[in-house]
Amino acid sequence: MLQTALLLLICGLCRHMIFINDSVAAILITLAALGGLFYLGIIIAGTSSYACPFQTPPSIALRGLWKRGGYRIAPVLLPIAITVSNLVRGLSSVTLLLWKEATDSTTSAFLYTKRGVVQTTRSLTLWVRRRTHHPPSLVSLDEVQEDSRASREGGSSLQDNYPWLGGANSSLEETSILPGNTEPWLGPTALASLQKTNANDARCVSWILKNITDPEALDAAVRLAGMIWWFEDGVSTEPPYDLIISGFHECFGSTGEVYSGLRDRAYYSGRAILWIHALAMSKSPEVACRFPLPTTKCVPQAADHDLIHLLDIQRASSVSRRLVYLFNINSALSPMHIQWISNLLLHFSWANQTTPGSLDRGHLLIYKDQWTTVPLNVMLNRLLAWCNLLGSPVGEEVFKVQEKSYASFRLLFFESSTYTLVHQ
Amino acid sequence: MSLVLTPLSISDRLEQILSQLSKAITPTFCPPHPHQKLPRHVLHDLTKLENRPGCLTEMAYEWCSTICENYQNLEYRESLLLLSLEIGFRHIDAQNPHSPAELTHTIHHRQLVDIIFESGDGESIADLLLAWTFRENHSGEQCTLLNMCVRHLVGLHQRVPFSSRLRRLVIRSITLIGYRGFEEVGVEGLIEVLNHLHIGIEDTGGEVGWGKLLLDIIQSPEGLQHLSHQYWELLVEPKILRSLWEESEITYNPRVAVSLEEAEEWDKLHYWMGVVWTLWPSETSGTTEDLERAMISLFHQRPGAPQKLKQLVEGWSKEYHEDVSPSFQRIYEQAHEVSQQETP
Repeated sequence: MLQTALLLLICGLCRHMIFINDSVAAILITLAALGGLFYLGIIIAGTSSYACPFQTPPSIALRGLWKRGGYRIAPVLLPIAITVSNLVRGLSSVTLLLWKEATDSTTSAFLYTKRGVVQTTRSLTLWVRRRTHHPPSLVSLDEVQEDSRASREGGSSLQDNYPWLGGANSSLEETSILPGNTEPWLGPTALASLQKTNANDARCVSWILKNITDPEALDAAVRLAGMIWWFEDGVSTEPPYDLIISGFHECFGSTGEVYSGLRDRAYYSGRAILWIHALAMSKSPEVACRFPLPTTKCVPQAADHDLIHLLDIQRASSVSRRLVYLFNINSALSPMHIQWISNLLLHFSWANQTTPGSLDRGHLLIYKDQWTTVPLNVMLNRLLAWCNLLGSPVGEEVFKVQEKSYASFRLLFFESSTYTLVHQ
Repeated sequence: MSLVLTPLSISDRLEQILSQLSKAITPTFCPPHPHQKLPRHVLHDLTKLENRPGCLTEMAYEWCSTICENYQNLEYRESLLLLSLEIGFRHIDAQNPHSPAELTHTIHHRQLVDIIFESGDGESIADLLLAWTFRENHSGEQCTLLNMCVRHLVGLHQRVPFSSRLRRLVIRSITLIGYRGFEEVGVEGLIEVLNHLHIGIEDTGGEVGWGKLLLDIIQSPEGLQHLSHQYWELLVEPKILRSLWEESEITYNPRVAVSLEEAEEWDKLHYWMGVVWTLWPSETSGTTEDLERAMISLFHQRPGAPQKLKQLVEGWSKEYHEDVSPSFQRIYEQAHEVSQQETP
């Protein structure tokens, strides 16, 4: 109804304008026609593939009709669809250029505050890029991996969609970070792409936390701050640690209870603090000194197991206790939290190599892990951490520390990081 | 909206990481090592891994060898071995054991026998037995290892409560070891274990060795006296009889029927007659006197026995397209006639 009303309004407006000014009317009609074609293209695209992010009521209805017998009119519809698709592609390339501009500057921070815009633009670019073999500068690992999965299901190779990945040697499928396997888990191109995305994310988060007051934007930024690979460019992009800590303290009242509605902010701020602290330790003892853990007297609700667990890790004054908390998980904790904790554990284990004593390995006497089985992603992180703690760092012979940890981190950390931000 | 993505080729990564972990942990099993206390936690963590790959079974078994070779601290060694076995074998289905793992047996694995059986942990004992029985083709070293378990298997039921898994694996181990393996420690112990296990036809899994073992025990003096009645009945199960029939190395002992008659074990004699006339119809033709007397006594004591025996022998002949032995026909008719005359 709304779409029909809009169409009638535009028709009426154009007709009215013809009587007033021919030039303005011509421009208006041209824009309306372009808009109409764009709309038609979206309907056709939505009808042709369920994977298209722009599903409209007509496309859903048309898909139903198509399944019932639309193939009979395919010879007529196909040329029309191809024409419209080409038009949409032309329009989207303009959008892509704008998007590229945005990701390379602080404009992206603006886009983060307008999440709707980000989602729309990103979804459009992502979808169109898959169809147009766009160069890798805009493609992040998550998209590549998603495509790879789809490719495997569909029987095609990753290179079909991403020719820039090169041959088998640089493919994600064929790579490894471990000694004995000469190829890294990520190809150099994919790794470079990841690092670029990460650097952008780091700048965006810092900018938002320093300049934006919109609560939604702040929540998104704090959430991302607990996942970003900080200090990638040395220490040039330092996290706004003090701001995050003050934001964390603001979530709690004078008696330590969490303010109503600020639980998520408190939790994600807590995560960001621990995360940055661990990453700083993995840089060097000097950097670690500049990002100390705050002292807190917070009293979360008894049922909030994730937050309690997080605060326990923060409070753990002795390193041995910290290791115990990092390993001990129970079924009351949420799967997302457990996954994140395993990432943190992995980073503390890396930190232990650059800042000896980050984790005291000799006092892991309390072991109360209540899970009979641990999710595979979590287990992989734990095993990597064990390798590091046992003095056999993963991939030492193959990759530089940063690269290899980055690679494994991104792969294992995947399901709770980037995509969560984009889709929530 | 939440979108869950699985990292690429995660099973490959798992195997690579496990391989790396194995390389990292093996030196810690050789004390003195700075991280000597960590392995227990690592192994404990690994027990929580789902869908364990075959390579982990191989690694865990190798760790057992390294631990046995190097560890002096007995308490710590035992806990590490129990965990290693749990990691390697607990997930394998005892009923239908299948794993791609290829185990490499070393001389150090022999130490596992005493350590694991003396630990009193039923599930770990089951893990160990599974390690040495889940492969069909038994190598020389594997047989040696299994034979070393004999003295622990005898009387095990008095020391450890049997779970269904342990029970199944003990049955499988006894079958693979065979009668000869138990001769050294005494067959009475084996009979005691068997009487405790109450094995039914569903437990034997149609294994070839099982019928042979049972026949060997039954034909021994101890078996004649002490083996539970149910095993005699088990012997005339078609599945067991078939496996015995295909077995070439079975010998007929004419003393069994005489001993059973003297001991007035009529039910056992009934089942034994069924076995004799299905497995050795030709051998028995020359020794008919004892058999005839035993059958007359049996038919006299058990009026329902002639009919059942005839059914069994005729059914067997029909299945294998062989004529019923003339000796059986003759002895059966004579014995049946005499028993009817004697019956008031």
